[in-house]
Amino acid sequence: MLENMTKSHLLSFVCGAVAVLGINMIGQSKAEAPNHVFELRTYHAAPGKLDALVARFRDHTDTMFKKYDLKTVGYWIPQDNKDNVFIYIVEHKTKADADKNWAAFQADEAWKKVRTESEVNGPLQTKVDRVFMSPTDFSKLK
Amino acid sequence: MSHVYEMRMYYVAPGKMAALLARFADHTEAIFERHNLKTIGYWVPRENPKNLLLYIIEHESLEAAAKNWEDFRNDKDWQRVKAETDAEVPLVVSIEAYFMDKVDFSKPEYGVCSKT
Repeated sequence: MLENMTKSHLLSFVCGAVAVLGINMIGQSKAEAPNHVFELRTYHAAPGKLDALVARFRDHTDTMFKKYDLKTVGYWIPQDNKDNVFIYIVEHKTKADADKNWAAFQADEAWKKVRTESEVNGPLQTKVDRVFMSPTDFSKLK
Repeated sequence: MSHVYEMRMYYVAPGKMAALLARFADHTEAIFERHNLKTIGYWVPRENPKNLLLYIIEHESLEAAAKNWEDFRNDKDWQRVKAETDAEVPLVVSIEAYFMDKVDFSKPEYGVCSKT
């Protein structure tokens, strides 16, 4: 009798655990829904270097990004650009992808050469702000 | 004529992000569409100490932006929605917005042809 009760308790515990596990997995798969991760990058160009920075993206960086799955949504320059910035958004599949692709890009020999050559007279930017963002459910890009 | 892009950053009232997102999802976005305010994306920073919501709108021109925003603000549905949802406390504390030009490297103005 005692043994039976224990068994039935054990059984209901196992069933409960399976149910909880199942719910957790549903929750998890929802949380990991394939919304992409977007990275807003704001480059503060060095004084007088905005054009050179844009030219480097036009002539080199943009092409190299494509090689490493760094998918840019758009590049922009504020009309009233008192902070001398160049802004762009990169779309990543996941944050882990972002880290992997940036590392591969930074290790690219051709990119290192371009960067060194373009900065012989000093860096083209003083600072880069990076913000990783999640799209909202109603966002067209996501 | 190149389109103009507007970056809008909303500093959301403490504890009101969910309410603001619901307002956009249920009302604002549809009213935007009615007035040709074409959003390309809405985002929330993953680390969000400033409690920000960001979005970008594509306008045909600055003139179109001014006209469409005015039409939006005068929209009776929007005025009603805003009054109702801001009744307890305004959902947005402050807004920073600025217009931007898109740099499209596939366009001649940024391409090899323009290099003179």
